[in-house]
Amino acid sequence: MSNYLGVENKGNPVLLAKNPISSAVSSITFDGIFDDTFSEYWVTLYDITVSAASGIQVYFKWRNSGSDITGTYYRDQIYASMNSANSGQPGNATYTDYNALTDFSFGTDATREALNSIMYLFPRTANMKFAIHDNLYTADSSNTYMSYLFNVLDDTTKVDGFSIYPSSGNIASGEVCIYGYKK
Amino acid sequence: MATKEEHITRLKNENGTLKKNVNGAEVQLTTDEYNAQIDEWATNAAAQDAKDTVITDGGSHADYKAIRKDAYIKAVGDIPDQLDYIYHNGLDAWKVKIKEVKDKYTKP
Repeated sequence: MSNYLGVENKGNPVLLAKNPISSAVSSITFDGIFDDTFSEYWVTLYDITVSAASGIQVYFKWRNSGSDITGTYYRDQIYASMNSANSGQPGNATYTDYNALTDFSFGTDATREALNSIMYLFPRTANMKFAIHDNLYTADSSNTYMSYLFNVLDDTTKVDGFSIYPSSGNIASGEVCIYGYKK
Repeated sequence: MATKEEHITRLKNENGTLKKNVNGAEVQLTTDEYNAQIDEWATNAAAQDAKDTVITDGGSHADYKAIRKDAYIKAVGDIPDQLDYIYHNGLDAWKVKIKEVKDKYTKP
């Protein structure tokens, strides 16, 4: 009897890139990382911190052939705080030329604000671009949030990369890993 | 609240040069890229300042729903807290408290 794990890459994700951030940079970009070897990818953001003191969001955008994929990015989100009653399901948010991975601003206070995320990316479809983001981060309020958001771009371009960057200031540290997991 | 121009000055003072990380390699931004990046950062920082001012002082903002929701929960608590408040203080006192939040954060 065959099953998915038996016929599709034996359930073993393949590490395609591992990028530790050793000094402050304005953005982390991968170009030409996605091709038709895999149809689905995981990206992990580990302990991403920013340089600015507060008020920062982290943005995501698709790229192809070294250029940003612009247009209207749509987002639906479920979020909840681990240490307050703050929770919600804001839907149908739109952003121009990027999507926002964090809704509640963060920075560099003593609570060690950082973003950890697993992103499920489907860059090689010739239909709309979908991505799913599982985020965990500590915000300026010292609240730790989980958020689960859907990121949609109405663009049929098969893309080969992406970029993440803060709304203002540099990314100070962290690590990004990219895995191909379904052929 | 700093203006966009003030943010540009601050950001340029803090970042004489900027680098980006592309496929694991650090690349210094060109002059055009640098100026565009500083401008984008300053625009976003000024917008965040305006939002923070409304959260603190009240008024209207395009992010009305999110601002009001956050402030509302902080001011009156979640639904069980509000029911507890009504139990101890009565509906009229609860209405007064809610009206304070509604009056502070107005629709744009």
